Amino acid sequence: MNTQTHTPALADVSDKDLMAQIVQGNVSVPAAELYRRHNRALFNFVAWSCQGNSFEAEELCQKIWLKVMYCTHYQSASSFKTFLYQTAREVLTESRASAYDQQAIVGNDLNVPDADLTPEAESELRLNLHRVRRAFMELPTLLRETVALRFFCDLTLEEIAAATGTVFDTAKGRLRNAFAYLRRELGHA
Amino acid sequence: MDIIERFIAGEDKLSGLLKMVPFFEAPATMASWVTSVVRVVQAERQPDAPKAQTQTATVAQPASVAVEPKAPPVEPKAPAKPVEPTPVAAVAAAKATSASVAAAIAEAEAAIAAVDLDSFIPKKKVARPAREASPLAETVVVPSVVGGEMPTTVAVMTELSAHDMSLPPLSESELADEDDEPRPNLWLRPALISGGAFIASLIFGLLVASGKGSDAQVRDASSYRTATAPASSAPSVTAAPVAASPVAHANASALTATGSAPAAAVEPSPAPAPAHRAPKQAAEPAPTAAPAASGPSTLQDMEARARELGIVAADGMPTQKVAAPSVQAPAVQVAAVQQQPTRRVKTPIRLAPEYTYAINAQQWKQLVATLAEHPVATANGQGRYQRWLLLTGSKRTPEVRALAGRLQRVIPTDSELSVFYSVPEIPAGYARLMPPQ
Repeated sequence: MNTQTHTPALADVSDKDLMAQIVQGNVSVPAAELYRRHNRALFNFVAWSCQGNSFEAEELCQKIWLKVMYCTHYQSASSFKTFLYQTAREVLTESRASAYDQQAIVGNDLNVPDADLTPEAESELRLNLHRVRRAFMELPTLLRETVALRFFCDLTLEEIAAATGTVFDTAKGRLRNAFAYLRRELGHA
Repeated sequence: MDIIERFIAGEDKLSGLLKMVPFFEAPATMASWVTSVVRVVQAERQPDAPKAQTQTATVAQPASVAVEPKAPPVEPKAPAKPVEPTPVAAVAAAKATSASVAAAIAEAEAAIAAVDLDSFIPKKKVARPAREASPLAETVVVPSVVGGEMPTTVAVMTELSAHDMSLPPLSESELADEDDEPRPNLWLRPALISGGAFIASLIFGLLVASGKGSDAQVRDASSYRTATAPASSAPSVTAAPVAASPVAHANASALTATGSAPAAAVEPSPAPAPAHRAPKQAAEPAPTAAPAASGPSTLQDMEARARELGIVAADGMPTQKVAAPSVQAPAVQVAAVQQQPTRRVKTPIRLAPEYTYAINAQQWKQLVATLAEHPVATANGQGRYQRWLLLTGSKRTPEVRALAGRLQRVIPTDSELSVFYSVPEIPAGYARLMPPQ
């Protein structure tokens, strides 16, 4: 009886409230619910950051969720997504050899095309999505994680800036650079 | 809206293509992992649950929240872990293991660090005072090294501790003045001191348990040396004879290097602390003025006494000067070395015997103070590049280099101090400063 009434209500509980429960020591149900909601996007973000290594992504995701479950101080002012991806970036940074293992950021010399992809190019890329995937994978780390947060995790620019510890303009600039880089790589299509 | 804005908004074709890229799908094992791990975490954080319940009532919580704190089946903490070794338990075990391993590594490193090989090597080399080919030295020092009897060991350890404790403290700035060579002994010294003191106290405790006191062990050590010392040794080593007797002059360096065991041969029970005396005491006729009753009775007292008297051999070769319970006065030793006929080193430089000092804190401070007051008095050829020489019979130890660094400060700025170590003509523990010629 209770289960039937609780289950739909649980889906309505916000992430912040669930996280508040975890902070207070009630882990099992809120953590499972948060996992159900966010693990897919989180796993994609981590997998993209790990160059598509699913095994490493799984291990890192487990560490991330363990951190969430053992969290004892959560600032409700920030969104749970921001908190989650901040934690993910911390774990990713710890897993890397250096604290700032990132590739060189693409310079500003990339030309940003004015027009969108032509219909022919788009259709060709639709048939060859592996090219898009490869171009995305070859993005520098910071650009790749920004694009992943935007298109695979559905974070807004403000949330991206908060999750990556930057400001709005920096996040936007990274997306701009990523766009220019991808268009250059995929422009021959 | 330009193309960038559209891309960010996800309204252009490229963003559409990106969204079409296949997602990475989390493996199904993660779902099962979560269902098991949340229970374990819940069990581990169970002590927080009552607190959480009380806070839940006060914290603003929406009425629609149907999450019951007691709803999840809380398993007891104890059975949860061993039944199912979840990743949480594995992580905790790994942390505990890594902590224990780190502690074990630290302990092993500390044990290794406690063994100061460099400090012990010169002690063994005491048995070969090759530069001073004196039979007296051999007969005195060899027993202290090769003797396996406990009293001798106690004496050696006592001397070693006294020597180490009497080393002048070196500041970081003094060390920074030196070159950048490694100084392994500096940070190992406390460990050596503590280790030596512990061993000495341990043996001391054994002696006490067997009915012997500190004086007894010293006596034993002295008597052992007495038995091994030649009968032709000086019957009574006093300050005046050493300074006046040409024979004593000839053997001054030997006495300095060997710790003057003849005193031990005459007086079977001198305390090791008065091995070197202040100049005032050195004028006293007989070394028996410091009987065992009035001398230091404990290791700490002896070390303190040695520190007061400035008995220092900064080169890490304590037994060459304080190897045996001796009554040799340091001032007499210095005077003997100063009056020693100057023997030239290989480089044809005129020696300045007045600047031959024992490397200890007091005398070196006096030297530095003298040079600081009269920096030009010994620096001829002003305005030219001058080279000062510091010849020492000691090895290149951090202490000696630090002491040379003090000297470096007070010499003229247009000069350079070159330090030569292990000079055969200079006894160990002594140094000779040679101003520019």
